[in-house]
Amino acid sequence: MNRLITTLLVLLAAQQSFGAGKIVSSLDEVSAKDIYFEGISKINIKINKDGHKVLTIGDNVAIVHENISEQKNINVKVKLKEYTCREDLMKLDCKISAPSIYKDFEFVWVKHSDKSKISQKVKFINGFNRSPIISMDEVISWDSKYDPFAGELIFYHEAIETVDPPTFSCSDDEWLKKIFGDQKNINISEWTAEGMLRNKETEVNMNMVFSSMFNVTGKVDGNKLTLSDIGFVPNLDNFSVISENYGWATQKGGEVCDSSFQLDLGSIGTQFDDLAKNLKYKKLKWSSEHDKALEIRGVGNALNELRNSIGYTGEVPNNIKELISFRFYDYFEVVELPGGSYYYKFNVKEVE
Amino acid sequence: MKKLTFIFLILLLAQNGFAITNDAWLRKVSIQLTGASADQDDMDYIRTLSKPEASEFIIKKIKDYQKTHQYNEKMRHRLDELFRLRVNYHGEKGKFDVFDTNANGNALEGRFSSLDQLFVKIFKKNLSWDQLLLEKEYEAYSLAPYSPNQGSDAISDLTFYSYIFQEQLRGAKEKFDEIRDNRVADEETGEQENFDPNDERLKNKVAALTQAEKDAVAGALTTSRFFTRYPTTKLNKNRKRAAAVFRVFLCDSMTPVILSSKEEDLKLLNLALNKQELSVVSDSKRHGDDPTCSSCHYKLEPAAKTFNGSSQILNKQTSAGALVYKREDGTMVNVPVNGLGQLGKAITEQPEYLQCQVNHFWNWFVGQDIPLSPEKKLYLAQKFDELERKPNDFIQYLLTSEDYTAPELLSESKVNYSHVKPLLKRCDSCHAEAPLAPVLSGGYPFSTDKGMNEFAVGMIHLSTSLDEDGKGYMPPRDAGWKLQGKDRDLLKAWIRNGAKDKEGKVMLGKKAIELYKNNTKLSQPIKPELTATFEDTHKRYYENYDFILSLRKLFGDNVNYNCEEVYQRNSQRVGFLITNNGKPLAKYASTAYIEYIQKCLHSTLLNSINSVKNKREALNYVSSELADKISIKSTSLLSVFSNDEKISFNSAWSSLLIDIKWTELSNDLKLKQVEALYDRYIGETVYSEQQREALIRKAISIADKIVLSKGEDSLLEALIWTSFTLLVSEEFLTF
Repeated sequence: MNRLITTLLVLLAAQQSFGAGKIVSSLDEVSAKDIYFEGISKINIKINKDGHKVLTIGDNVAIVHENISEQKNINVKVKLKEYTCREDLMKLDCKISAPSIYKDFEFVWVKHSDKSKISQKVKFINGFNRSPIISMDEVISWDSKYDPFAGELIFYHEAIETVDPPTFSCSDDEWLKKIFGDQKNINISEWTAEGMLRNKETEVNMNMVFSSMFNVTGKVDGNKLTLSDIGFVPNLDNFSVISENYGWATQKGGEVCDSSFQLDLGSIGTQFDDLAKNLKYKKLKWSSEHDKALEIRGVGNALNELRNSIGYTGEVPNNIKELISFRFYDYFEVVELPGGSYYYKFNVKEVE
Repeated sequence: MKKLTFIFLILLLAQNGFAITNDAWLRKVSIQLTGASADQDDMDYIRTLSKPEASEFIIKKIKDYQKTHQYNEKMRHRLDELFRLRVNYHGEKGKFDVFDTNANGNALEGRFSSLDQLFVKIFKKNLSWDQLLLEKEYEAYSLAPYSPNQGSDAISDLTFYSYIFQEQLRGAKEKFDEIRDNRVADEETGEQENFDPNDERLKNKVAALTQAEKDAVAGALTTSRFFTRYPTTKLNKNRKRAAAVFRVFLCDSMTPVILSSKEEDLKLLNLALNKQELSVVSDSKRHGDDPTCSSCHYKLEPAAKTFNGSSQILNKQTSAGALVYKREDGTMVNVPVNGLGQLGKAITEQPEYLQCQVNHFWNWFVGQDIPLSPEKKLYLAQKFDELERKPNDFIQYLLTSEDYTAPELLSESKVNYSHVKPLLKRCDSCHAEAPLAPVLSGGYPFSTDKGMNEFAVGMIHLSTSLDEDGKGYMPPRDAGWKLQGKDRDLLKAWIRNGAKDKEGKVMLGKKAIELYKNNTKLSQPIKPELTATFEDTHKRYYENYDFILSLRKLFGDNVNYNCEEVYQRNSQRVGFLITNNGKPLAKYASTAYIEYIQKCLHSTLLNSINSVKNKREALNYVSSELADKISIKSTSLLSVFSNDEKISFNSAWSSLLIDIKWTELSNDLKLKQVEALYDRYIGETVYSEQQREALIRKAISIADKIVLSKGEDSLLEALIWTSFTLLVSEEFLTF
């Protein structure tokens, strides 16, 4: 089974957890009011016995159809800053190549109390009337064994099977040999992502590891490393594979050696611009026309930030994480509640 | 109140030792172990005992105190501070405090964290102190600490141990999700009820069972709070963690100290960098040529390596490293280890560890301002070892030792090389290669030539400008440290004593000593005195917890809620050490601290005095003489209002408080009245008779002035203001 894997860019920014919470309204009460629910686990989108993805709203059932599916490759420039067990692996130019997938879906009623609606598209009214879009720019590494709700992210699983996993390569052809020796199937004992966060004990902001994965495996092919599995993700709330700074811990003899990487954030903006021009899926707009639409908020704002800052001043914008963590569905919004928890707000106000 | 025949006595023992009175002893022990003063009956009783009898009684009380929840919490506070963790979280208002219990009356012990549970367990079960490094079992909470009921993105124990104890924690997350989701929601706000920290379902027992797991686990070091407090990055490479280990367990605060030679630097650096395969390449480039860096990094790097692979969450895979440091006598400790478990074990086997831990206990209970000589430290370390390193037994030993009851203060004539050595060592970090500077790595005296020594001492005198405090050019501004007043006093005294070496041999010529002694600016000898601080000094101020606990003991539930409100709002509370630097927010009681106390006191006193329900309670506030006068003691209070039997005691009491004019009471009656309050709040012979009398007179004077200025001449006002004066006094706030 081709579990996990694709990656790229950051998954969830550390703060954007799938957060704890409760259902304020249930999906079967959809009408003229917003629906809050806890995480994606509560959305009733599942694969039925026939292999169809279904959306249930009360007793009514809609099947999901794919409209457009596109795949583009993104290449992210990365610097291997240091490998602590060898002096000659420093400041290497590297690259992550990963697919970015865009999918457009529509929902069609297959069971409805109003028979005339069967075979009709589900209309989302008073909300965002566009179909959801899924960006596979996000890291796709979910597996149901780690978290009960992850298994329900069926879009990801399907998408994963259709794309190639990301590859990591560096300018030194021997870089993998220097880190992993002659092994073809490698193991990264710990994979970490770093960011600036508030220390809970001292209440001072500092750089720290905020996300870990263990037992990440991959295959070596010459200069390229292709990830094949993630053994263990302890904390999905703060899960992130790639951040501006990320690192590996690998074994060499009895010693644990660290590799640290840094993303070239500037290289990402250009590629998003290209994506925007070349995608068939034209609903992805880089404007503030739908200012609550998440892909707009995420990508659009981030691009603007890039244009306003990186491109001109060379400085990294504060909210760079927005760029690399934009969300998947345009009818969901992440809402922060007092106390720091997050909810997914279902922005559809009415469904016909 | 029982009048004692031998009222207080402060014995000035031989030279600069002093002895505390029985009730001062009990009061101090009680506050240190439970946060509140001793029971009134115990205080009255111990005053009647001889010293040996009192000692026996104290031992019994210590054992009693050590069985209380408050003791476990007090000790947890000390450890939180030692590890520089937050003593108090931003918890919900009124929750999780030392004095709180849950709905079932059970004490809320610890916090939602395996580390706190470990701290408490060590004291509750009187486990070996080594368990701080050797413990292999944890209570892993499902809840994240800090603000668990409000949601927290902190790492919970459940997550922290999820990889290494994957099998043992199977299903724990689902169980927690169920508890979380099934909490009852408030009908109005929709907010779900708080978690009950005593809910056993929130705790998951995990334990290192296999050898590999045991090697990966090391007591307090492998807990989510320790990792959260000391986060790491690929750049930091766990050095923060290693530095904390050295500070807490080996009392090595990593003040840069230069090694004796470049060759030795390189040798140690190579050791740290693991021979040819350099493990900290960029750091070696950065620090390799800088001896001030290598003096710490040769120790840090090998220990830090044992944390590798466990950046945020505990890894099941261990990492090789070593415990490396240089002993006082110059010999090198180098113990290769694989994993934190082995590192912890290696540390507990070092004599420096034992002496360091003894030092912590000394500071906590005896006080860091009471000199602990190297010989005594060694002796105490042996004693600690004999007591199987059990903290409760050692605390009992310390609190009944003469070091505690009659500590020897530092006097001028006793200042020797050991007192100034830490200071000179700091100078050494920059002066290693300057021939005229004190180079401790070469050992003191600086030279075999007396003249050279005199010259070097003279340089210390001049460069630090001991004649004119604060104006010296050493240490320079960018040194990162300053000479404190106490440091200057030590240096002066050492020089005046002839700059003795470690054997106590005078290293200055008579003429030079004479010259220094005749220097009027240098000739003010150290006075053995104790100043109360919020730090671990012999005489210290109440922490906020202690203050509120003591008020509760005196006034029960009448303690005004404002006291806790104010206290809850301060994230870094007065009395607790700040997590960043291990220092208190304020060293001495500031105006702000007193104001903070005042905020809660007035209303507490008003509530308490007004809510008296019977004669026994009334006698908490009025002296027996005054009670006689107003017919409380000898006859029924109702007899004062005998014409109206329907008047309740309380309303009669309230009327009485208003009706009796303070200014009409005789001076003697006022004196007796305030004496009674003093004896209840502070203890009759805790301080000297003169101190007691002065404070009592001050309280009377303040009450006199206030009742007149406010135009409210009543017993009520007088009781409030005399009590107030006593409770904000140094005598009450210090112990």
